[in-house]
Amino acid sequence: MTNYSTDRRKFLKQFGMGSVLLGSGLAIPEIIGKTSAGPLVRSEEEYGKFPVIKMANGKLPYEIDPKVFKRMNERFTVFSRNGWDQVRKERPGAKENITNRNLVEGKGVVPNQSRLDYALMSASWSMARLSNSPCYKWETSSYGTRRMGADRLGKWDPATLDMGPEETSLAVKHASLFYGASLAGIAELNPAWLYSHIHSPTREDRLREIPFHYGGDRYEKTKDAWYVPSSMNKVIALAFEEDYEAIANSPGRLASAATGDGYSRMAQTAYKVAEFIRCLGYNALPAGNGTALSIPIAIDAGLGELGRNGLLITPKFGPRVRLAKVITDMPLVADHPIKFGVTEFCETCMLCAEDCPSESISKGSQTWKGLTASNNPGIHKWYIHPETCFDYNGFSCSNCKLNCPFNKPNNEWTHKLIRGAIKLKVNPLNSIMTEFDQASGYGKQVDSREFWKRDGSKKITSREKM
Amino acid sequence: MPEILVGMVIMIALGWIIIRVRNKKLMIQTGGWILISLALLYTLFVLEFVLAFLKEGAMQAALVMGGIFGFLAILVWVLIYRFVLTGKSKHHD
Repeated sequence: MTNYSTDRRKFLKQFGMGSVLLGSGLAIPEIIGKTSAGPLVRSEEEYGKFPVIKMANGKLPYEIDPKVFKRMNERFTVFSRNGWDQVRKERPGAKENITNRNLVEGKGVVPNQSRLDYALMSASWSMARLSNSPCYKWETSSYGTRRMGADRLGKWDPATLDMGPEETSLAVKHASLFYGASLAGIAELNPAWLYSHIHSPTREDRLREIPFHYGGDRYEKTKDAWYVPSSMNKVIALAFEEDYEAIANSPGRLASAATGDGYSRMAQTAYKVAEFIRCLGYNALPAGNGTALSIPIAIDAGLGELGRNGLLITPKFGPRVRLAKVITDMPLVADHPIKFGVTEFCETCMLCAEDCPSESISKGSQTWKGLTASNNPGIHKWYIHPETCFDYNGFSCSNCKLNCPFNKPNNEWTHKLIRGAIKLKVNPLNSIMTEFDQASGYGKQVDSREFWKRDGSKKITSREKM
Repeated sequence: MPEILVGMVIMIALGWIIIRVRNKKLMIQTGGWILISLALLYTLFVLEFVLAFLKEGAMQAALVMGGIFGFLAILVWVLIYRFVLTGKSKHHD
């Protein structure tokens, strides 16, 4: 009887894991070679056929100068500075009402800024801008989660289903994709990416900030400080694909609709993933742009590499993603960071820097020094100018995503062939591919009227998901 | 459907070559047949390349890539026609 029971459990485990693999589309990447940094792998589902190096032995695809690098204070992000920094408050155009100019004065028919375009944009942002939204709360606010009685049941033990940390990690990523993430990865939480202070302004004190403590065993958000225990040492990085054809309208209003839709999905999915973890009895701290820097977390979790445009470049969607994360104490296995030739390609490409309307992207080499107060120095990378980026066109520009050669559909073998060529890291070849990319008309703005004429069911983004 | 058309174009080209070789009783060396095979494969690649861009809706890419790689394909076929498919006949009667 005992033997039978064991066999049944084994069978159930294997059946369950097989279902997880098939259902999630998380196919095990095929190993196609070895490099000094780690194995070279390929997976259509995860990496859009890019040959990718999974970095082994704790190697990272970036360098940090520990003498210079410090945890960033959230008060210095451009979003926060707009509220307290006099220079930002008095910037040209700060008081300009672009919406009024386009909709009221322009009678809602300004090209690429029409009332129809604005409607799509405004509704896209609606979930992200819900007042009193529970999405990024530290504790559950769901009746269903409380009813499950996680507080009475205690922490879920994966061994009850004959699952180990590897299988649990796969299940969490499966749940993340189920809830709407386009990509999911897991990293060891590097406390360096947590904000050192949280900007928490009051009407009287616009500069007010509170310290963010990591360590110990306190998990609490008070009026005067945030506390996250060292047991919360894993982070689930989530990426959300933005609509290919809406981004193609950049710097038009539809690009902002794609951005807003990403933000709304970030909030909704991060919340659901956090609730899923809470139902299993573990702590979960969901976050969008807040709490910690999303891009380095996503890089650590193996979702992509950093590009010249300061954005995460993923193999499957290029820079056309938005990011969220969930910090947890659930025992999970971290993924490996990846490299697939982005740095080498960005060195010669320059398309984003040349086409940036606000000249916010560096045309030089990677540096250790930041350019403005909103940069965090001490990492060897291309620093962008966040202020001029923010100020351009009412923050609805995505030109650096539109014209990035990594922003291509996954459904055609032509792009997959070129992805293989990028992996070769041959500079003259990269330059030729960039020239061909431009000559082929990629990176040009698609008029919003053209967008609206297209059949939504045949969109490239939709096809990619099939 | 477009894929079938591409296949038909390649098969028609191959058929035309075989018929021409038979009718003109041409003597083609092994190297010549290898060149013809490579040219056919390259033509297939160019047509599929253009087709992929058309399916994606990238008209300009189809035109540019078709223009560059198609020009090379035409050049290759002109050379093959001149130096391989108008070569010596088996019988001079």
